Amino acid sequence: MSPRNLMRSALLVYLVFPFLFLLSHFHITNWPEWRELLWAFKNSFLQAFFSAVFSLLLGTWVAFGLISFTGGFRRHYRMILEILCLLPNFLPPLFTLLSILNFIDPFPMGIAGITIAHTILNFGLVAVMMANIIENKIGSLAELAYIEGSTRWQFLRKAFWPLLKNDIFLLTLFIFAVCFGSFAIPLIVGGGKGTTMEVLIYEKIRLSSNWSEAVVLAVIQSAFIFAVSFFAKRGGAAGPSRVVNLRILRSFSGIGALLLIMAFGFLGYVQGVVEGFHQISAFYELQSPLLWNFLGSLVMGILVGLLAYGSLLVIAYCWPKAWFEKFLSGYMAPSTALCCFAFLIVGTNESFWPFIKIPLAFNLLCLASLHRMGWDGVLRSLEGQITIARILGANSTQIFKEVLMPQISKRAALFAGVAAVWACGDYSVSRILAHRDVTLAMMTETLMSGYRLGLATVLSLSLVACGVICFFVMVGVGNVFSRKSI
Amino acid sequence: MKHFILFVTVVFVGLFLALLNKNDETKPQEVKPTLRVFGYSSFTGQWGPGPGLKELFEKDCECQVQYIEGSDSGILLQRLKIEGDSLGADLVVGLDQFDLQKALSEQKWRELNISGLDAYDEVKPALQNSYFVPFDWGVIAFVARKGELNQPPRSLDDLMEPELKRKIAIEDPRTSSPGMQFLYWVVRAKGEDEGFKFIQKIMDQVHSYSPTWSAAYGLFTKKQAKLALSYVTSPVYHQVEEKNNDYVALEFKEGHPIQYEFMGIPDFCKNCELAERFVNLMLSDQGQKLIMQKNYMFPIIKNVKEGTPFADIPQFKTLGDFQIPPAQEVERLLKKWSEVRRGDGT
Amino acid sequence: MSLVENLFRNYGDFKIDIPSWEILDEGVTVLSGPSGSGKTSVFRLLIGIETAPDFRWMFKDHDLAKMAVPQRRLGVVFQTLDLFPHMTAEENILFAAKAREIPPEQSFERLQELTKVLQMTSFLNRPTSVLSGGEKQRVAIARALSGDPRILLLDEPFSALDQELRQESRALIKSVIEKEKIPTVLVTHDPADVEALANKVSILRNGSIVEDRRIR
Repeated sequence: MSPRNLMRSALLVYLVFPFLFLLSHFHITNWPEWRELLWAFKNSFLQAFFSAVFSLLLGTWVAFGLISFTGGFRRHYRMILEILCLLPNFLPPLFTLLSILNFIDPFPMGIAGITIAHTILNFGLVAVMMANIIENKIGSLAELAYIEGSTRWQFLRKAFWPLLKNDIFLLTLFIFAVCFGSFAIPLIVGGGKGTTMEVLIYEKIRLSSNWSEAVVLAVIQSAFIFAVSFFAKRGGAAGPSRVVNLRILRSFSGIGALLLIMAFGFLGYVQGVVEGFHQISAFYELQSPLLWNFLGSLVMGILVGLLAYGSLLVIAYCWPKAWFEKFLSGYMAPSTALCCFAFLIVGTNESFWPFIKIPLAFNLLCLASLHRMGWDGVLRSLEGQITIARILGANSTQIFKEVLMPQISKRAALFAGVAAVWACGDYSVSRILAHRDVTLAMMTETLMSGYRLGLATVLSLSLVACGVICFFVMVGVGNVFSRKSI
Repeated sequence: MKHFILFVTVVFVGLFLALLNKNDETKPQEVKPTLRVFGYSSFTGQWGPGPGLKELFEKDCECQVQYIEGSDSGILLQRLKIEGDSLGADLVVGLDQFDLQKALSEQKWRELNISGLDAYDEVKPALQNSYFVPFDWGVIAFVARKGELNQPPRSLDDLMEPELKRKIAIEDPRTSSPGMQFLYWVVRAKGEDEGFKFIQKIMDQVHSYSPTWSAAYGLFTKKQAKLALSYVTSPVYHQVEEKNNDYVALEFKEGHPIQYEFMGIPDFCKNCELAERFVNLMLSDQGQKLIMQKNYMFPIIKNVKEGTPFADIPQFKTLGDFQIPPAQEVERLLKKWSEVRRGDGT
Repeated sequence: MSLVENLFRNYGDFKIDIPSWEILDEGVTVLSGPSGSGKTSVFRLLIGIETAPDFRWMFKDHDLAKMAVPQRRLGVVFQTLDLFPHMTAEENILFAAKAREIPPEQSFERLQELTKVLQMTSFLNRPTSVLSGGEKQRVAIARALSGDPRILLLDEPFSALDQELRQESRALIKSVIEKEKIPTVLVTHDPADVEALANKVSILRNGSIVEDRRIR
C-alpha cells in the first residue's frame, strides 16, 4: 500500500471510528420508533433549512459590505469587521443566545426562533466566506460588468447566480450541516419543535440508556447529510487573485446591518460583562486555578490547532482522489455525546490521556466543517499544479513538500486557528472527557451552574483572549512551516 | 527559524508538562491511598463544596482525595454503567431521586450503615433506603424579583396569569433534574390526567424549557423571564454574594417538591473504608455546613443552619411522602411530556 | 515513429475514437481541429490523467499507455502553464529535474543550456508569479524539457500570448525542438501554429482523426 493510500485509509478510519466502535460495542437490538424519528427528523430538517437559507441571505448582504473594504488602509477595517463577524464563533453559544434574547424581546419560539438564533450565530461566518468567494471567483467579471454598464440586478441574475450557484449550494450545505446537529439552541428556543435528532439522541442515552437506538439515530443523521452532499457539485474555480473593483456589488448597508446586529446583539453580553465586573474580587481567591485553566485552554486550543493543521495537511497529501473528496465533503461526525463516549470507552482516561482524547475528539467533530469552510477549495485550486508535477515525475512527497506545503501551510494554519478558537470556547467535549475543570470554558460552565452568570460572562472574555492567542500561534506555526518547506 | 521553532516547542512542552504535573498533584505522591470521588462539576469545582471537603478530609485520613468530574447526573450514571470499575470510583456523589432506581438496576452498591443522624423530618423518608444517603436537599420553588409582578403566583394555577405569558423559565425535564421535579410536582399535585392538561396549558406561559438549570436561571437573571424554576435557597445566594435582596422564592399552596442529592458507594470500590469515612465527613456538622454554604442547599442535619442566612428562609409546605420513582415510571412520564411538548404549536 | 492505437473513450455525449495514429519520432506532430473536437481530451488521454481501457502507445518498444503517469516521462505544457507561483523560474525548472532524479550537476548544466536557448537569464531568479506571459511560457517549456522527457506535449501553448509575442515564441520553440531533437505533440486550433511548426498535421473532428498528413 502506498503511503498516500495508507494515510487516506488512516484518516477514514479515524473519522468513522466512533460509528464503527459504537456499532460494534452496542449491538443494534431495536430500531427507533418511526413516528418519533420522523418528528425529530422533520424538526432538524426544517430548522436547519431555514437557518441555512437566512444565514446565507444575511451573510451575503454583509459580504457585499465587506467587499467594499479592499486594498490599502481599508484592509485593516476589513480585518476588524471580519473579527466582528466571527465573534459569535469565539463564545460558547449560550452567551450569544442570552444576548440575542435580550435584543429581540419578546422572542418568537419555535422554528422562527431557532432560525433567528442560528442566523445570528452563523451569518458572520457566511459573510466572510462569501466575500472571499466573490473576490476570488467572480471579482474580475464584476469589475468588467461594472465597466460595461451592467446594473447590479443584471449582474446578480446573469453572472452572480449562474457562476456561483454551486458555491452557494456548498455554503448552504455547510451551514445546514452545522445547524442540523445543533443541540442547545433548538431546546431553548425551539418550543414544541425543539426535539431535533440531536436532542433525541441525547434523550435516548440519558433517559432510556438506549445506546443502540442513539447510535442508529446518529448514523441516520450522518447518512442524510452524506446523501445530500452527493447532489453538490464542485464550486467554481478561483481566478487570479488581485485587487478588483467590486462597485457593482458592494453595499455599505451590509456593514450597517452587521454593526446593528452586533451592537444590539452583543449589548446584552457587554452588560453582562459590566455587571460581572462588580463581583470580580471573587476571582482573587481563584488566581491559581484561573492561571492553570488559562494555560489548560491554551494547551488544549493549541493541541486542537496542531491536530487540525496536521489533519488538513494529511488531506492535502492524499489529494486528489474522487471518493476521498466525496467522503470528506459529505462526512458528518456523530453527535458530540456519542463521539465523546466512544473515546471515553477506549483505553484509560487517567493522567495525560484527556489531553490526547479531547483534541482527538474535537478535531474529529470539526474537521468536516473546516473542510467545507474552504479547505476543499484551497486544494482544488492547486489541482493543476499537482497534475503537472505528477506528469513531470514528482512523487507524492516531493509534490507535498515543494509544491503544496509552501502554498497551503498558511491557509491550513488559518483553518486550524479557527478550530483552536472553537476548542477554546468548548466545554461539551471536555466536560465528558476530562476528570476536572482543565480549561477556562469548563470553569465558565461551572460558574454558570453555580449562580455566577456575571462572573462567567467576565471569564468568557478570557476565552476570547485565549482564542486570539491560539489563533495567532497557529498563524505563526503556518508561517514557519511554509518558509521551512521551500 | 530553527531557533524560533525550538523556542516555541520548548515553551509549549514546558506548559504541557507543567499542566500535567499540576493535574497530577492530586495523585498520590507516595504510597498514600487515593479516594476517588465521582461527582458533578458544580460539586467538585472551585465554587463547590468539593475542594473544602477534600482539604478537611486529607487533614487526618493519611490519604489523598481525587475528584472525577462527570458532567450532570445523567451522564454520570451512563459513565458508571459503561466504564464500570475501570472508572475507579470509590464514591458517587450527586444522584437525585429520579436517578436512584436506574442506578440500582444498573450497578451494585454497598450497603451504608447510617444511623443516629439528627435529620430534618423532610429528610427522614430519604434515609430509609440502604444504599444511598442524601447529603443535601432543596425545596423546588419559583423565584421572582420583588415588585416585578403585580400578583405573584400563589399556586400552580396562578402560573396561568396573563402577566406571566411567556415569562416563566423552566428546565426541560428530559435534560435537567429541576425540570423533572416540576413535571413530578404537577402530576403529584393534580393527578396524572389533570396534571398533563395543566402541562399542556402552561406551554403557552413558558418562556422556554432550558436544557440546564443554569440556562433557565440565566434567562431569569437577564430579565428575559419573570419567574424561574429554582430553589427556595436561591435568593440567599443573591443576598450573600451580591448583597442583593431583590429576589424572592414564592410559596405555592400545593406544597413543594424536594430534591435530594444522594451519595452511594459502588460495590467495585477499592478504598471502600475511606469512602465510608468521606460519607461520614459529608454528614458531619462541619461537612454539612460547607455543603450548605457552597451548594446553596439545605443541610440534612439539624442545627447546622442556625446563625446563617439559611435559618431565615421561610419554611415552605412540602409534598412529603418521599418515594424512589421506578425508572420505567419516570420514562413513561417523560414520554408523555414529550408528546404534549410536540403538540405545542409554537 | 511512435504509434497510438485503440484510443477509445466514451464521454456520454461525446466520443474519442482513434483506432490508430502515428506520432513522429522527430519534429512536431500537430493535432489540430476546431473547438470541441476533442483535442484536449486526446491530450489528457495521452498523458494518462484520463484513461482508456485498450489504449496502446508504442514508443521505442515501450507501451507508454501501460505505464503510470510519472513513469511515462513526458514533458508537458498546458494552456494554463501551471507554474508553481511560489518558486522562482529556476526553481520551477530544477523541480522537474529533481523529480526525474537527474544528478544536480547535470541538471544545472541543462539549466544553463535552456536558459541560453530560451533567453531566460534576466528573470531566472524572479518568482514566476511576477513574470510576463511570454516569460512564463518559456519557463514552462524549460521545465518540461529539464526532466529529460521522451516526448514533449504542448497544449495550446501560445493562446495566452499577444500576436507579436506569438511569432517570437513560435520561433523560439521551434529552435529548441530542433536543437533538442525531441518528438513533440502540439495541440492547437490556430492555423498559424500549424504553418510555423508542424512536420505532420492530424485534423481531429468529433473525436476522430479525419485527416493525417506530413508537411515537411
